[in-house]
Amino acid sequence: MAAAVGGLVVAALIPTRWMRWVNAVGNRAGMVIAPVKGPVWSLVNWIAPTETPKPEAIRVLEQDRDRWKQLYLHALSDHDDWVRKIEQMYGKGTLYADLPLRQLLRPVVGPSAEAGGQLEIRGGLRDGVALNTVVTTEGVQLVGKVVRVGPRTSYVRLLTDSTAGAIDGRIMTTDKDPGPLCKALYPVGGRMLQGRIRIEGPNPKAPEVGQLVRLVDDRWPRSAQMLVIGAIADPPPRQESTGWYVITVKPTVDLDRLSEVLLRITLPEAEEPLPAPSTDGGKP
Amino acid sequence: MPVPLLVVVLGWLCLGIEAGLRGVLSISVGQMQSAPSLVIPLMVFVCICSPPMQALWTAIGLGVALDLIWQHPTATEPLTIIGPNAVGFFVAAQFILAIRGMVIRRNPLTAAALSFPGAAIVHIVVVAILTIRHVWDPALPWAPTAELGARMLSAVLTIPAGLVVGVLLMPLAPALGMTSGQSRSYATRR
Repeated sequence: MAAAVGGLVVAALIPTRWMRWVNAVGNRAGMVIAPVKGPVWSLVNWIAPTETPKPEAIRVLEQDRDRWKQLYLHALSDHDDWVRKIEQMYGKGTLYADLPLRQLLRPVVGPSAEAGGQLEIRGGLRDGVALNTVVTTEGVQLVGKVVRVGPRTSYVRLLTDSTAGAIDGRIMTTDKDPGPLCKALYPVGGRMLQGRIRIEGPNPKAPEVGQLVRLVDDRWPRSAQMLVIGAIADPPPRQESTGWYVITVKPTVDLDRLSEVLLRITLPEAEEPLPAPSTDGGKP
Repeated sequence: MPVPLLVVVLGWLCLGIEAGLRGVLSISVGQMQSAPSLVIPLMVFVCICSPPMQALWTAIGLGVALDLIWQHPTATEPLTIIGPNAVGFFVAAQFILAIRGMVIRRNPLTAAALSFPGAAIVHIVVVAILTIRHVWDPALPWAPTAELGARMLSAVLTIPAGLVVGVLLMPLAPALGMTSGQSRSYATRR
């Protein structure tokens, strides 16, 4: 008994780099309790749903509308990006096509961290899930990224988790018009993000509660750009003495209570390296 | 059913139910979340009912299981750290074993009442171990004061969970090794 407790104390204090093998054991342990955890999670979400269920037809139409809107905004953002690149490279920039994606709808087994901020998903290496796969809701709400993959399960870090780091987004002043860019939205607890923006121009308009914030961040895959990070929430944006606004952004759904998520898996053939841009004056 | 198998089945159920209910029962405390535990009341109940060695091994087993299923998010890959909960459960089990002679073991309220100090001890030990670990391994983002605050709230939330577990498991007390006071007193008379 004493040896066992001593061993556990030592194991608890051993640095991370020597204990990575425990992660695999943890994945297996997660699978062992999944037959109880998964049904309980589904039952709880069925008994106490986070939002009022809408008729199926309306839900599908709304999702379709949101998806097309995201694609449209994504195309606009791509266009701007291309123009910028062409200007930078004097017409010799690399213009690559959008990466093909496979979308996989998988059920959520439940939370995987005691402090929250992570979800366990029924889908792993066998389904083609890889590290950093972007995860969204069935609509276009961004959920997070895959941070650990097991054979049959994977773990997603929510974008509201304290370890998720900063994320950049663009405030949408109307449905179509992109507004000011908000650099570095940080998780601040309470399932919210907070950031500061400076609004300039001849006719500056303060951000308002309810305006959507969409992803515009080079650290995220191109296919994820213009997905919804959330909507500006209470407390209303306030202007500091320096002229910057502090905004609080809340995801449009409760990310900790999802029952299904959509994995946006980049297809392997798309990951082949692209040829380097020509630098010899346009010769092939 | 043999006692170890019964404890394994109960532990498996409590772990699964605790993990499944965590999303709906959790309360946000700053960047942390507090939620009641079902595994700690189970450990308390086993400690009330079972012989000391059996209770201690059960506590270690449940602690290891908890260490394996709860990951610690980091800036890169989430970590599974084996040990903190196991040691915490062991220390809490020692405490329960030390005071179980002073409580009414057949009352479900006892499980609820002892769940709070049990949970508090587990969380204090976990925070202490991870704080020490953080000195030389800062891979894990760690804020001891905030963690301790959120975990103490979890300990308070564990009291009603302890009552539920106590009521549900009381019929299983004899199977877990609890002998009734009456039969023991008859035995001494003989």
